[in-house]
Order: sequence, then structure tokens, then C-alpha cells
Amino acid sequence: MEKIMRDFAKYLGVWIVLVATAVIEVFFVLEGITRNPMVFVVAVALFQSALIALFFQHLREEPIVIKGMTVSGAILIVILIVSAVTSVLTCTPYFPG
Amino acid sequence: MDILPTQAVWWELFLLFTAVGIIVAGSVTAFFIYNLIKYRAKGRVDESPAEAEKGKFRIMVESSISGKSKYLLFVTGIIVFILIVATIDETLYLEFTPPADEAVVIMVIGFQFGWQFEYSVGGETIKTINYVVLPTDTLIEFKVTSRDVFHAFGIPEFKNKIDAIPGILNSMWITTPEEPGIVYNAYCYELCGAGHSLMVGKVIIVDKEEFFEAYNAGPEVFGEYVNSVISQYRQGGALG
Amino acid sequence: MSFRTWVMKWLTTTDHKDIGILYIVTSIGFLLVAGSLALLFRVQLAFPYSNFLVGSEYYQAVTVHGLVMLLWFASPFAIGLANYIVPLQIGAKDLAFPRLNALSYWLYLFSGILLLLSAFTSAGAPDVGWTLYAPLTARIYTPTVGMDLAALSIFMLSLSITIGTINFMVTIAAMRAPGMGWFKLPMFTWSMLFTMLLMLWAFPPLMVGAAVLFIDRNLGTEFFLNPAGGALLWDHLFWFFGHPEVYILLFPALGAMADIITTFSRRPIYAKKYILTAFLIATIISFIVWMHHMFITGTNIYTRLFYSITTILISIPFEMAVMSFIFTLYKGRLIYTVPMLFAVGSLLNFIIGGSTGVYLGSIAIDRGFRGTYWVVAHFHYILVGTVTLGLIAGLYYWWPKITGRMYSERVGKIHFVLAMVGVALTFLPQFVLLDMPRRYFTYDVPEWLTLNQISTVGSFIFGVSMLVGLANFLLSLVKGPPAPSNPWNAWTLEWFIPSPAPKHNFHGVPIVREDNTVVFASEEAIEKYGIESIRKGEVDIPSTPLAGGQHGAHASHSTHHIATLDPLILSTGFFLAFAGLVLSKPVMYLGVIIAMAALARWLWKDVRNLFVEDLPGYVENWPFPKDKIRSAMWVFIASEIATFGSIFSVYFFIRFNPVGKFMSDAWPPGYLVHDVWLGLINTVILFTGTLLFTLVYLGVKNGNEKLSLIGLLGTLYMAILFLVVKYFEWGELLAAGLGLDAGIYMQAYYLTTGAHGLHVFLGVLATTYLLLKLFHGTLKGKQALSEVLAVGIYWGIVEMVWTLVFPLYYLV
Ligand code: HEM
Ligand SMILES: [Cu+2]
Ligand SMILES: [Cu+2]
Repeated sequence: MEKIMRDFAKYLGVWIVLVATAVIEVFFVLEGITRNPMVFVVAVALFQSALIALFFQHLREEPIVIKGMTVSGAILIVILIVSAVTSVLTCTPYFPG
Repeated sequence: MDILPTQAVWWELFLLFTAVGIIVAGSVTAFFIYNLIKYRAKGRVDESPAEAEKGKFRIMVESSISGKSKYLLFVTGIIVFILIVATIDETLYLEFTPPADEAVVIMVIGFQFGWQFEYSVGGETIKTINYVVLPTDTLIEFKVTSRDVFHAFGIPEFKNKIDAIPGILNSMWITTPEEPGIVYNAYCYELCGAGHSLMVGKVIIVDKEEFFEAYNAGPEVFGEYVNSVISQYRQGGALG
Repeated sequence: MSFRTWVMKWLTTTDHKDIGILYIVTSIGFLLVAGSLALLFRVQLAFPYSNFLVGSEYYQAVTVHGLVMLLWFASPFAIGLANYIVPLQIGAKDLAFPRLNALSYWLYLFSGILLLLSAFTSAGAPDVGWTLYAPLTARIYTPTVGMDLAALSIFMLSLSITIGTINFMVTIAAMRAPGMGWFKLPMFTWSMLFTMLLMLWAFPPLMVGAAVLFIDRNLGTEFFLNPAGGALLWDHLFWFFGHPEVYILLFPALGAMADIITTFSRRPIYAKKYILTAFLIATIISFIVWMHHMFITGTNIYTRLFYSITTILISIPFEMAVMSFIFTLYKGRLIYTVPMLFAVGSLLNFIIGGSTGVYLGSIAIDRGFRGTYWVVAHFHYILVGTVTLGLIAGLYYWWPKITGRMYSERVGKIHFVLAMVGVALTFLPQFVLLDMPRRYFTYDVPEWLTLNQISTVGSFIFGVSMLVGLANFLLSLVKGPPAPSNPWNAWTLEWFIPSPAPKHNFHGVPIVREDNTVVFASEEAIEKYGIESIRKGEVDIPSTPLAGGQHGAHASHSTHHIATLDPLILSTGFFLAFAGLVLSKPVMYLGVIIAMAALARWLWKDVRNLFVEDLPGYVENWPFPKDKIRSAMWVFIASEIATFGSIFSVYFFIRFNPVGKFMSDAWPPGYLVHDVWLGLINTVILFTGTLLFTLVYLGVKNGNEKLSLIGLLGTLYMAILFLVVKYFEWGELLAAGLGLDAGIYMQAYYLTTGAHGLHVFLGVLATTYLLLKLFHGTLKGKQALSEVLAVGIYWGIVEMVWTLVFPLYYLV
């Protein structure tokens, strides 16, 4: 049971990040904080999707194969990072509005 | 007028592609047919790898690759590169209407089933249906659109055509020949309904001076002029 | 076998071999229909001033001919061959999902009937051309119900294709015989794999396009009518499907030709890795060439130049493939049997068809050629000369394996000569008709007359050749001599078993050893020695693969194929529902009820775990999981990405189309129209539902039923809550006058959220299914875990789509 709870806590963590980003997204757009809302929301959506996909990769019982796993996992992580950085950038003066 | 006509550009490119095609596809085909004849089996083909080893079955996987195929790739690459460069060059030429001292702009509006042509003369619009009168030796720009469905406007002799799409204004240019009296067919090249085959417009080439004389004399004169040319043509009379 | 049992056998079969035969027979039926239409309009073109077939009727013939030939003949014919051959070539007992395979077939058959049905409605079949260009297809320009039926038939076919694609991909990926590594797969199997990859991504846009077209025509939306979407939106969706489609047609033929040329040159295929690389490159590039069908639409010139370059470049991989075929012949010992003749004949035609296509890749040349008979000649040289003849080569090649009978070589050769002459006479003159517009039933240019008449004569010669071929096949069935197991001395697995292939395909497990020899090991032998040592050739085990029909020794291998009516009933339900939707409401309700009942019956069997079939431990599946259901779900996800990708591209296209800026209903920011907070609440609800679903996973994994129950109920609750909120939201919008008539941005909103809502609904069904399993006590073990994971992945994609839907519509 304890192990189950530990597993569940991980998923709960993902859930919190997802909900938090959704709320932040709404707030930033409505308050006009982000300079380019279209790019911003697409980046956030990519971030969330990559997170969800990574989460299912983790769920998988046995890895597809080490190679396949790392390739798709690496791609997802790259997407995750790039979209996170982009979404932050769209709220700064460094991004063309 | 020293503008290279669209059809000249087209034929140039067509011949280039044909020359390359004949050289490449021709030699490939020749080699192919040579092989077909040279290596045809003579007599009985005996072996069967399956039976060669009793009780064993062998699947065939792959032969070695000879270095020659890499050459081939290289040669193809160069040829394709030439075709691409020529395409880009000629396409850009056709895409932008060249500047000209005298140019006539004509609106072409496709509809089910016919073409409406519009000249703008002295601030007024002269409309004709299915017939258009053009001066010799002049750059013509067609502004093409549609009133209902998707059509495509093209005159085969000029090897140029453009889609007529509702809500979109496209343009296409040609240069008319030096001889008056020629009549071209303008076709619709996109299926637009039951009468699609009947969407044939007539492009009548008239003498340049005559044309511009009427053109410069204002809308009324020009309208009459155009109509008289058209009705003359329809009655089968000689032009000009 | 009595007639009744014979009929029932075909109606209930799930055996890949039977279904392959059904596909082949049905597609030949469609070939005959579409071919007869072609002969009719060729007659009209030979006599352009006659009134034999003019106006709408002419275009109905043209449209049905095009659609049926491409979608209901060529592809399904290849799928039929693949159904029979691919499992044999890879050493599998069947496809991964036999019942879904049957479903694919029945959906295909009924979708074709749905299309042909349109010809019997009052105003006849659609007359808009197989490309269905907007806005001609809109209700105001084409009011006929035939058009609606056509849209639905395409939608239904896309369902069939998607299911089939998943099935084949999982089969090839994860059910290969031990030792059958990727590079040992025969070319035909490889080519089918590429075909499936293409189908997976090409059909969703067509499916979305057909659905939107139907909605446009029946609910008053105007995606393809409003210039903000309009003709160009359809063009993009259609050709994103359309260009890959031509390779979907081509690859199977090339694959069959490769196998045939290998066998009859007595040499292995030359540079297999090169060809495979070439195919892969062509597969990828084929998704970025579609705008070469839009070269004269006047869109941005630099965009078009990009597509021009990619199009010309794509000729390189095909040239590589052709060269490697020819190098295979080089120094071979060529045996000119009928299949070999057809194969080299199609290769010759491919050279002609391919090199005339390169012209069209050049925008400047296409300005002259677009919409002319040159294009017709080009693609018919490929579609008839290469694809059809190549697949016929395949049929001649595998006929002995499929039917167990040989045919007359002499008649086959007559068939070949007539077909080649027919193709040349029909289509070579059309290259000369390079100014003549296509789809004209009359013309008054005297120079075109003779060429057209030659072409018509050619088409009749081709028609006769097909009848000769048909007669040959029928005669063979009646009195052909029995075929030996390996009449061609070929080197692929399907020839190492009796002809026709026995019910269970292989006696024993075929194992490809490292020296490429194949042994057929019994389960006991595998148990005793282990796969590895057999594969390495360390032990020599006796194998008697050719001894037909002895079950005794290998009883454990005799798969009994499931016999079930469910796929047929389900497809019948779909058919009635779709036909009724257009023609008669009561029939529609009847269809819906039948479909739901069939689905329930089907799933109820699975709830009781009637057909659980694990992948045996020894299958070759690198690098995919040894789990059919989960693999299938991933493939499905890939197709979902294309589906929603198409829907989102509709959004972006309309929203950023400069034409739209001038419209009165320009797109307002989302938060002005929609209730952001309601949207956000739904976001949280959906996220929470997926979170709760992980409890199901943990529960099943750890054998904790209570946890699973909480998870399932929680997920269901959240999903239904999501739908309820959506329902109220739509109600409020409608009350506020923001219905489908409020502008294209509202239409896009309903389209996208509707499609997403439908997916939530399907998720509810899937979750309910798991709940039933839980109640039934079957939600445990490996099978249940893979099902749970699959449903979990499904909820994941539903969630991912929403992360984009929400901000795009509610926020920006
Ligand atoms: C060397 C490779 C090829 C090239 C460069 C090429 C190029 C083209 C281009 C540019 C067009 C558009 C022409 C126009 O409408 O103006 C076209 C049309 C077409 N091609 Fe190809 N093609 C190639 C191979 C194929 C293959 C392999 C197939 C079929 C298996 C095929 C089937 C078609 C079809 C069906 C059309 C007509 C679509 C319509 O109805 O408008 N092509 N091709
Ligand atoms: Cu037309
Ligand atoms: Cu294409």
C-alpha cells in the first residue's frame, strides 16, 4: 500500500503541475502579461502535452526497448524544455510582440 | 516589344526536361531492355535452394552493393539540381508580370458556365461574355477570379493558366502575337459542374493601332468597337 | 459443405486468408464497375459531337470511376494480397486482431455499396470529380443526396482503413517469426509497412474533410464555402491526403514487383538497404509535396517553389528503386513466367510514368500542363501501367499459393501482351493531347479527334485483356492443375508451406536461423532447446513443414480461427445508419440500434475474456512491446494526432487567412466570446479524471480491486461531468445567439469541441467496459493490464488535445 501511495504521489505531482500551468496560463493571458498570446498558449500546450506523454512513458510496464525509449523520451524532454523556455520568453520584452 | 513570351519560356523548359528525360530515362530503359534480353535463362533452370539442402529452407536476404550505385546517385543529384535551378529561374519570370510601356489589364470572372471579361476604360467598365478582344503585340495581364465555384482560366497556346477561385484575385500574363486575326480558345481547366466542357471562351486578336484608337476614344466608342469585332467574328466574317 | 455453411463461413470468417480472398474478389468487382464506366466515357470522347454521355451524366461516370478506382479498387486489392501474404511472409498465424480485420473488410464493402447507392438516387451519383473540389460540393451548387452519400462513404472507408492500418502495423512490428529480423523481411512486406505508415497519416485529413463536407452540407456551416476557408482549405486537406495516396497505391505494386523480380532473376534483390532507405525517404517527403497540386492557385510563390523543389527531389528515391530493380536483373537468369512479364512490363511503364511526372513538379511547366491530358496520361501510366499491372503480377505470382491451382501460361501471356498494348495505345496519345483540358466531354479541335479515337480503341483492348485475365483465373479455379508448394522455387516463407496455405499456416513455429535457413519447430522442441540455440543452429531439429494436414503432432499450433458475425452486423449497422442519415430517418435509427447492439455483443465477449490471446514469448518484436493492445493504441494515437492535426489546421488556416480579415465575421479573441472560467473548470476536471485513472492502473497492477473500482468510478464521474459542463456551455452559447450561424469562428469552435467531446464519450465507453470487466472479475492479469494501459494512453491523448483546444478557443 505504501508503494502504491508513493507511486500515486508522483502522478499527483504531475497533476499539480498541469493544473498550475493551466491557471497561470489563463491569468497571464487575461492580464495581458504575455506579449504574444498565440505563441504563449501553443508553447504551454506543448509543455503540458510533453509532460503527459512522458508520464505515460513512465507508466509503461517494461520499456519498449532501451533505444526506442531514450529516443522518444529524449525528444519529449527537448520539447518540454523548449516549450517551457518559449512560454516564459513570450512574457518578456525579449520576445517580439 | 522585347518581352520573352510565356510560351517561349515554357517550351524552353519543356525541351530541357525532355532532353534530360530522354538521356536519363532512355539510357536506363536501354540498360533495362539489354538486361532483359542478355540474361534471359537459356535451357533448364535447375537449382532450387529449397531443395538443395534437404529439409532446409533458405530465405534470400540481400546481395552486396557495388560502388557503382553511388556514382549513379551523384549523377542523378546533379541532373536534378539543374532541373531545379532552371525551374526556379523560369518560374520567377512567369510569376511576376514584366514591366511594359503598354499593358492591358483585363478582369476575368469565371461563372457557371462561361467567362466574363472586363476592360476598364476611362473609369468605366466594359463587359463582354465569353469573347475577349485583345490588341496585337501587347502585354496583357489577366486578373482572374470566380463568381461561384472553382474554375481555372487558361489559353493553351500561351502555355499559361491560373485558377479562378471565389474570394481570391489571381493574376497571369501573356504577350499577344504580332499578327492580327488569330482567334484562340480559352478553356476552363477545373471541373466546375455539368457545363464545364462548354466553358470555352474566344480570344480575338485585333490590330493594335485600331484597338488603342478605340480604347483611347473613351468607354462608349470602345464598347461599340469591341462588340462589333465580336459580332463580326460570330457571323464568320473576316476580322480587321 | 452445404451451401449454407459455405455462405456462413464467408460471413463469419476472421481468418486472414479468407479475408484476403474477400478483399481481392470484392475489389475486382469494383474494378469491373469502374472500368466499364471508363469505357463508356471513352466512347463519348471518340465521338465528341454525340450525345452518348454528356453533361452531368458524363461527370457522374468520371467521378465514380476515379473514386472507385483509387479508393475501392487499387488500395483494397493490394490490401487483399497483403492480408493473405504478409502474415505468411513474416511467419505469423494471423493478423494481430482477426476480428478487427473482418471489421475492416465489411466496412470497406459497405462503404463501396454506399457510394454506388448514390447512383440510384434521383439525381444520381456526385458529378464533381474525384477531387471533390470546393465550393462546387456545397449544397447550393450540388444539392443532390448523392453527394452526401459519397461524403459518408469516404468517411466510412477511412474508418476501415484506419483499423486495417493499426492491424497491419502491429502485426508486422510485433508478430514476426523468431529470427525474422527487420532486414530479413521480404520486399512485399516492407512495402506494405510503408503503405500503412502513409495511410496512417494520409487518411485522417480525408476523413476530417469528408466529415466537415457533410456538416457543411447538412448543418449549414460554411467551412468550404466561406472564402476564409473555402476552396483552398479543401485543397490543402484533400491533397495532404491525395499525394501520399498515390504512394499508397504505388508501394504495394513495387513491393510485389520486387519479390517477383527477385524470384525470377534467381538473384536476391540488389541493394535492399538502399531501396528501403529510398522508400523511407519517399514516405517522408511525400508528406511535403502536396502543394504541387496547387501550383496555379496563386498562393505565395516561395511556398510553392519549396513544394516544387521537394517534388522534383522525390524522383531521386524512386530512381534508386528502379535502378536497384534493374541491377537485380543484371547477370541474373531471367525466367519469363507470366508474373515476371507483368512485373518487368510495369517497371517499364513506371519509367515512363515517373519521368513524365517530373515535368509536373516544375511550376513553370505545370502552368501549361495543369488540368490537361498530360496529367491524365502521367498518372494513368502509373496507376494503370504500373500499379494495376504490378498488382496483377502479384496476383499471378501468388495465385498458386492462394488457390492451390496453376493457370494457363499461354493465356496469361496473351493477357500480358494485350494489357501492355492497351495501356500504350490508350495513354501514349494522351501525352500528345497536352493542351486538351481534362474532364471535357466535347471539344471542337479537329487535331484532337484522331488521338482520342486511338485512345478509345486502346482502352477497349485493355478492357479485353482484363477479360482474358479473368477467364484465365476462372478456368484455373475450375480445372487448373494443382499447384506444388513452391512452384517458382522462391525464397520467401510463404512458399515453404503447402498450397493453398493450410488453415493454421505453419506446422510448428517457423524459425529463421542465422544462416537464413528456416526450420519449423514444435512447441516441445522450443521448450527443450530454447529459441536461441535453435536460431544459432546449435541444434538440428527435425522439421516437416510440407506434410499437410497432420494436426496430431503439433496439436498446440492448430489455431482455431474465431467465427463471428459481429463485424458483419456492426458494419451493417453503420451502413444503415449512414444511408439512413441521408435517405430516411427510421432506417438511420434502426442502423444505430443494430450497431450499438453489435458493439455491445462484441465487447461483452471481451468482458468475459473469450478470446484472450497473448503473443507467444518467442515472437520477434524489436523494438516494440510484446503487447498487441498497447502497441495498437500507440498506433491509433499516431493517427489521432493526424486527425486532430487536421482539425487544428482548419483552425489556423481560417484564423490566419488574410482573406478572412476582410470578412464581416473576423475572428474575435476567445475570452470575449467564451466563458473562460467554465473552460478552466473543465480543464481541471479532465486532468483530474486522468489522474484518477492512474488508480485503476495501480489497482490492477497490485491486484487491489477496491483501488481499481475507485479509479474507474472517479474517471467516469469526471468524464461525464466534463460532458455535462460542455452541454450547459453549448446551451448557453446557443441561447446567446452564438450558434452555427454566428460566423465561421463559432463553427470552428463547435467542430473542434464536438470532435473532442466525441472522444471523451468514447473514453467513457472504454472506461465502462473496464468497469464491466471489474464486475465480471476479469479485470486482472496481463491482458487486463495492457487494456488498462491502453485506455490510459487514450485518456492521455484526450487530455493533450484539450490542452490545445482550451487556450485556442477560450483565451486567444
Ligand atoms: C516521379 C514521381 C512523381 C512526380 C514528380 C509526380 C508529380 C505530379 C504532379 C506535380 C502532379 C500534379 C499535376 C497537376 O495536376 O498539375 C501529379 C498528378 C498526379 N499524380 Fe503524380 N508524380 C509522381 C508519381 C506519381 C505516382 C507514383 C502516382 C500514383 C501511384 C501518381 C499519381 C498522380 C495522380 C493520381 C495525379 C493526378 C491528381 C489529379 O487528379 O489532379 N504520381 N503528379
Ligand atoms: Cu470549368
Ligand atoms: Cu502529388
